[in-house]
Formats: sequence, structure tokens, C-alpha cells
Amino acid sequence: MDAILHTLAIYLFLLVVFRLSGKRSLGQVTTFDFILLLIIGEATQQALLGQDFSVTHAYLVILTLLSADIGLSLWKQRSPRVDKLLEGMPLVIVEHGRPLHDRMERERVDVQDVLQAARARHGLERLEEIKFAILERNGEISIIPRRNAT
Amino acid sequence: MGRRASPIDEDPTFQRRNWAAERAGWALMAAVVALGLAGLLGPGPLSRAVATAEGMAAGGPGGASPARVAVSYERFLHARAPTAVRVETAVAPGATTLDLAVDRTYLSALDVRDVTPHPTATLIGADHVVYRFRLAPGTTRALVVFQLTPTAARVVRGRLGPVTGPRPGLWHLVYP
Repeated sequence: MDAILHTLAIYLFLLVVFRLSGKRSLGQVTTFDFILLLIIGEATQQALLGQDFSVTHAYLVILTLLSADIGLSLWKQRSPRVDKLLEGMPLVIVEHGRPLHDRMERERVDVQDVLQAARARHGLERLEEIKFAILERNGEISIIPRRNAT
Repeated sequence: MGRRASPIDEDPTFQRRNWAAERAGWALMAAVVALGLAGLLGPGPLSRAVATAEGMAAGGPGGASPARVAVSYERFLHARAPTAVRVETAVAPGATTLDLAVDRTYLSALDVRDVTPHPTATLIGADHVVYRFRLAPGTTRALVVFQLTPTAARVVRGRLGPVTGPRPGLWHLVYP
């Protein structure tokens, strides 16, 4: 029983912490972010397994994590409110070529991030060529070019 | 955040609350780190404690003598993480053995992994366990270190010291 409760507690903790850390944390993972995630995974693994390295314990931990994840996804599917709470909402950060600085600052996104996404996906060079830039729920930046820009 | 022609559904109220919750969460994370640094969430400066007791100790050929016992320990522990409890006590002149008593309730919450120096005997009392150590001739002070591991998250209280002398009380808060 302890294994399941510990696993659920850690699942909940990670869910809250990553939700609070914002969209930027996982949207554009740098090499350092990746290393950080590995370290977090290692710390989590030790807390989950403790001194018990048995196969049964590992099965329990894995099944608890997957069950919690499936349960949560079903809950999100049935409740738009929970979905919004846990996943957040997309946010317009550039509108008709004009960066919405207040929003970008709050989401820790800068103009260079928007231009990078615009260059990578649409070959755009300037903000004026962007109709909308949207910070998606997963932290990625979607670009909608102006009609005459492409 | 006003209304604007947007290609997506936006909820300005939710977004504002979301940002506020994020900032509050960051402050909370920083506070937890600060508490951890201070030693309130595990071993650290504010966790270190010394419990002392003074009284008369019997046991030597000269009868009772004044004794001071100091127990150094960490107040805040983590379940299944080892910790050391150091007991330093004055020894009655001429005594050949030192008997340290530890409350049984205390030992039921902490596994004894090791005792340094090794006791020559362990005796079971009604509500405590006695660890007996042989003393070298002329010893006036003794230091015994208990290596303990808390078994579960809880508050642990107990007394630890010479059987016939003062026994300071100590407590630990064990985090999960």
C-alpha cells in the first residue's frame, strides 16, 4: 500500500510543480533542461523505489503511475474545467505584428523566441509578417503568417 | 488583458489567475528551498540540537557523583535516511562500565544500525533498553554514537542517558 501512496504523492507533486513552472519549462528543452530532467528523474526514482528493488515493487510503481495518468486524462476529457486547470490555455503573444509584451514577459518568452519559430516554420524574417503568434499549451509557439507574407 | 480578435478561445480571467498561481507557486518553491537551507526540512543548522541534563550519577566505587549528559542529534529527519545521535556523559570515578538506557518507544520508531563503540551487552528493561559499555581505567568522560534510521514519518520522542544518571529528552520530526 505504501508503494502506491508514495507513487501517487510523487505523481501529484510533479504534476503541480511542472504546472506551476509554466509553459516555457518544457516547451523548448535545451541541453541543460534535458540534463535537469534526467536528474529530476533520478531523484524521483530513488524516492519511489527506496530500499525495495523487487520486481513486484517496480510493477506496482509503474502501474500506479500509468493508472494515475490514464485516470487524469479521462478526467480532463470529461471536464473542460479540469483540462483547463491542468493544461492551461493557449495564449496570443503577437497580434498583427505587434508583440504583446506584458503577456510575453509573464510567460518568459521574448521576441527572439517568436522570430525563431517564425523562421523555422514559415521562413518569415520580421514580426510584421506575423499575423498571430500563439504560445500553445505545450509551450510551443505557433505562427499564423499574414496572407501576403508567404 | 482586453478582448481582441483572436484565432483561439481566450479566458483573460483564467489567464490572470493562472499567472497569479504560478507566481505564488514560485514563491512557495523558493520558501521551501529556504526552509531546506535553514534545516527545517531535514539536517541543517536549525535542525541540530543538543539536549542536556545534569544530576548525580551512581556506579563508581565512590558512590554518586555530579554528572552532565549531552545528547547531540538532528531534530528534523527523513524516513529511511540514517542519522547519528551522540551521547556524551561524565563517568563516575573508578567506574568500569557505563550503562546507557534508551526508551523502548524511541527504539520502536528508529532502527539501530550501529553503536560505536560496540556495547558488551544489551539488556532489556521494562520500558527501556540498556547498552552496556566497558570503560578503560581512568575514564572520566565517554562518547557513544548511535547510528539510527527512522522507519516512518512521525514525531519521535525519547530519553537517552545513563541508567543511574540524568537522561535528557529528545525529539525528532521525521518527514516522509
